[in-house]
Amino acid sequence: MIPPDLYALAGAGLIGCGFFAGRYREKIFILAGAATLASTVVLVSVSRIHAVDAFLVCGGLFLFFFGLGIVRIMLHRSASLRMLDRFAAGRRETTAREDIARRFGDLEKFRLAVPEAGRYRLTRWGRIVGASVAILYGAMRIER
Amino acid sequence: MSVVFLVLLALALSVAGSEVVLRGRKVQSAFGATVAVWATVGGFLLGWFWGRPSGRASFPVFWAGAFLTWFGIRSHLESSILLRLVYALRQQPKSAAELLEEYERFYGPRQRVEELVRSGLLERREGVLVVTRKGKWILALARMLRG
Repeated sequence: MIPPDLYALAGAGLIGCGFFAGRYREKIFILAGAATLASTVVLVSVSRIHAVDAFLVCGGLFLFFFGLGIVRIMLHRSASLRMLDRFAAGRRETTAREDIARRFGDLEKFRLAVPEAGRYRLTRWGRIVGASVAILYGAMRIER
Repeated sequence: MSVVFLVLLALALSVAGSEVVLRGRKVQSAFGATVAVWATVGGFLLGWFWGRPSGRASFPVFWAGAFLTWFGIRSHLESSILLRLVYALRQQPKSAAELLEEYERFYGPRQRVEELVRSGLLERREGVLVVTRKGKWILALARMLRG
């Protein structure tokens, strides 16, 4: 029987490689992660390892994949990182207006809000997200 | 089942402990302190799991994934422009100009620069803001990882 630790190491390695190989194309990262997770679940279920070990291996790889996915989004979208990049390039302007303006397009793209008579109005989905954000801001004591 | 409960309890403890050490700061300003909290709780649990067939590698992968997930969600929530815009629109519809003004009041360029200084990524040298060694290292890593 293959020890569960080997599944975890191999899975994390494959997801990590997918993260690096998919730095230009998101699909590569998602495909590599999904394929790794699916094959690990199948291998774990046929190898009759203890439920606790199966939980740690599968849960761990899912969290690893999900966590790297969020990090990937941050690397590509972070306005602070872009600002730091501009400082490193010797450009002293500190505006984040371009980044903010780009998010107006995202409001529509993700169907969170629709423009109406020159103003943005939340959709039903947007209201659900807005309410969830308000709860999380409160729980995490994020300034409102 | 008790093991799953123990892991969930440890996760809750790490999240709560991180909130305590953050004390209202942004996660990028107190990154080291939060890593210390997760490493301490994870270290105790690793000792407990060490004898299991999944203790030596699976648990560290699980814990690293849990930390990355927490860090990503926490950091995203406090800094996401999109989520802040949705939050600002909860009460009433607003124009792009109103949203821009409101956002810049909340986390405009000045606050962003201050946060970068607090995080040790930028520093003032003779009145000029320059990227620190840590900042350059973070940028190099980010460039390598985002292609």
